[in-house]
Amino acid sequence: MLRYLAGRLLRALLTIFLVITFAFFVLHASGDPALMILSADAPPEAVKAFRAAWGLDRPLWEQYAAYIFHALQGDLGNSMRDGRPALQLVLERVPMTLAITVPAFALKLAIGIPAGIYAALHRNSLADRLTMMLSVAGFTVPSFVLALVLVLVFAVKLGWLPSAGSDTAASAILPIVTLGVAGAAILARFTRSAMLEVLGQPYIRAASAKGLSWRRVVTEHALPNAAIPTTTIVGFMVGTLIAGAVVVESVFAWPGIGRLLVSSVANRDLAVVQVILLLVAATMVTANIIVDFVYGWIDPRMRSRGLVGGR
Amino acid sequence: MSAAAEPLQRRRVARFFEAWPPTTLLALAWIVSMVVVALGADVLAPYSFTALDLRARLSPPILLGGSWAHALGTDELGRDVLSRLIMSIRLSFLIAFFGTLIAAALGTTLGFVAAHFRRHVESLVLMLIDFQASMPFLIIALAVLAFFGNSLVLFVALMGLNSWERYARIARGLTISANEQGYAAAVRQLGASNLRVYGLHVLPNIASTLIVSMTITFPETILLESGLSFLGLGVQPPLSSLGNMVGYGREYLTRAPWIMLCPAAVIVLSTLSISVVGDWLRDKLDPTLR
Repeated sequence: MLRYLAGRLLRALLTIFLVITFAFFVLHASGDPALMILSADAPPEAVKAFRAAWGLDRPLWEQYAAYIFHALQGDLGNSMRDGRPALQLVLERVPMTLAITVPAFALKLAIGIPAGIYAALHRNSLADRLTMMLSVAGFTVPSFVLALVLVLVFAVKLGWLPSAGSDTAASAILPIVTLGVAGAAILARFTRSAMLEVLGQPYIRAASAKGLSWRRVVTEHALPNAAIPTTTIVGFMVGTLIAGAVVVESVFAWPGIGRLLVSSVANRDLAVVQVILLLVAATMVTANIIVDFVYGWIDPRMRSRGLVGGR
Repeated sequence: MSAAAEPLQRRRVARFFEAWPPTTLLALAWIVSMVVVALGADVLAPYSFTALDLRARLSPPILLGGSWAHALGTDELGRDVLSRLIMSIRLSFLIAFFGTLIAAALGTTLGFVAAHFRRHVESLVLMLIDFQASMPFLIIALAVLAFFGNSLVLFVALMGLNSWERYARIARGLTISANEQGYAAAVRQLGASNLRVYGLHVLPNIASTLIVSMTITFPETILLESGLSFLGLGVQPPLSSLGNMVGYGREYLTRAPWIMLCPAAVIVLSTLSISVVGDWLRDKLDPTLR
């Protein structure tokens, strides 16, 4: 158990390290931030001073070693734009992003899973077809289109909700709905196919044959088994809590991580982009580990095989 | 007409629609028309996509009382929305097409390599797959794009990196099982080179699954491209893609919603159609995936 945990953590750290390295080299191999920040016609002395100040004149491997060395001590560099620590700049935005992604996540679960289960239990009914049609739409309508259509209807035409910004609590409603609806559609589809798969298994027939009520067959035999594949996709959604709202935040001018990423990318603010990538990787990796443990908790077979941890 | 002929006719019609469901036919028709538009963009566009008509700025489309001169209206600069839409369809489909092709070629090759060499090579490929799957690609794409600047070639290559891991996983799995079947070993015994074994014998056997995957990654690529272009980090003006148009139209949401709605509708209908056709193809070609 402990060995498993240690191995899992080691792999997680390796992934994060790879992301940092990848980000560092991609970002540093690609043009000169000095010219971008100072504008192209800045005097050569100013560019030189800027490069010296940020260590951009040193060889790349030296910059990389220094970066890793400082990162291990918790110093992830300063924003080239306003000189403040990049980590602080990013962490300030986290609550804003979570303020829309967490309610959206709840919305996905609350709509997606029951809809998927219901659709599977009433296969080929009108409700099932409707659910599937909506879930296909959820796949194919890009979030920015959904967001703009919602703005057009609820902000422009009806005037019920603000179209952008974060001044009032009502501003959060449209971003949350946009994120939630798309996710719910995906989740409904996954849950439905997981349920259908399980309902076709012999043990369901066996459970019915031995006289269990259909309700008990569903709650005690079908649902726990269908929970396994559904957990995977839910775990992935947990992983995107930080980074899943880039487009939606941009549409609604919501001051979260996503907008910070887009503006930092446009400004070539290396340190900030690196911190965001690191944060995203860490969230994804953590979510994956949690998923592994949830597997062990809901599926004792995986526990005994020693594949995943559990109690 | 005899009495017996009519039910026969009806049965034939019924059988036809069973093989070709109406939704699939509609979806196919939409895809074909999009391909025609993409190929014949230069001929079909009524105006140059950059031509200004300053007297008819923000002119509404026909359905909202506009004139036939600009069937889908014009934008703030008086550029014809229909013409821009046609050019955008061409560019978006071109990017998605090559992006999908690159992803399929790269992923399948890596899958073959992994299945052929096994051991260390395989674990390296598997690690790359895990890495790819564990990071949201939009974030990586954003980082890469902004810092590498923006050329169309780079952008298309980046789109190709989006979904290679799906093909790699499929190709690896199927190749491993193909190598255990007789036919691959048989041609190898006959002295065929690896290139011949994989290119002429294994590939055709797993092609249907790969084609079905392409119907999944093609719309994904359209969505990714339009998302990035919408953020202003994908296709750059003066070129225009569907995502660009939506991004531009967003500024005129209150005054001229058609600028945004036209390309948005094309994106949705195209991704929807390809998904529908993909589902149908999957049921036809590869019942095991159902």
